[in-house]
Amino acid sequence: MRLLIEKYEHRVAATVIGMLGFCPVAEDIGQETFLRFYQSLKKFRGESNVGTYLTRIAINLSLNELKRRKLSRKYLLSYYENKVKNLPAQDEELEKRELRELIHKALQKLEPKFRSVIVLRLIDGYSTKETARILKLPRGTVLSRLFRAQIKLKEILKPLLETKVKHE
Amino acid sequence: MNKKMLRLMYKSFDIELKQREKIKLNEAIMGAKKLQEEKEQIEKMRGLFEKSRVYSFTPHFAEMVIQRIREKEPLCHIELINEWLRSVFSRFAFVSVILLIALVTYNLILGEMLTSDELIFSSGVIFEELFNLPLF
Repeated sequence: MRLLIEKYEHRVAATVIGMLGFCPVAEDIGQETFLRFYQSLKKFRGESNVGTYLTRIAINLSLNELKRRKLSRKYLLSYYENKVKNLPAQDEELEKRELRELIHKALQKLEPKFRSVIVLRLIDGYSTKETARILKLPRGTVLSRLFRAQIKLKEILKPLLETKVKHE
Repeated sequence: MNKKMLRLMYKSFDIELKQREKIKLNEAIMGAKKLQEEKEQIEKMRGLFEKSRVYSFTPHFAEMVIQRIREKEPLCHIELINEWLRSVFSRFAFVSVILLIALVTYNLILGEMLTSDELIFSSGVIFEELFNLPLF
């Protein structure tokens, strides 16, 4: 089990943190994902690969968490903002980290249904077909949500994108 | 900006377009600077998302998961034992009832309180009377 956790931790982390942002709950949901997988090992028939199966559990748990925590969202965002403020300054790694945090902050502004397609497609790198299968949605819906989500993200990240263009 | 072309351009990042659509889109991009800029921005944004991927939780994540699994396991064992006991006792209870009926019937016959005719309900004894008979 340890080997399996080590192998798929990155994938689960990308999905859960993408969905919930940097918060203590994200780690808890990550642990719960593996726990659920362990408990459902008997039911796992190998129809999808382990990574996809784990992603499905992770995305469902994250969506449930978002529903459950809708009211306390302010708390999560303030936790996140404190984390950003407490980062050490002037470092290449810091720039990367800040960028990552900005991206995740932008993601948090999307509705969960749009966020989930962005996380699976753009962060996890699943194809639109796989994304549709994981979310149990028609492929057309995934494409339409991707379009709308990207339009919104582009608006949110406009200053960052323009700066990046100037740098390059 | 042509909205249809814009939609098609976004689509082109996620699925393989048909040849006809590809030609149409390329022509539109060549002819519109705004669409070109839009394409560059989408490429950049998608690149940023790829880079922003978080690869791990805290350092002892695996240990914590294993710990939680271990905490859950004793409960699983208790549930298994309960299930086993339930199945054993249900069989045992069924056999006991059969044995009890056989024993009562045997006693009644032995005590000459029940004849073989009465046993198969061919005598005048009605069913309710059976319950009034002393068992031992």
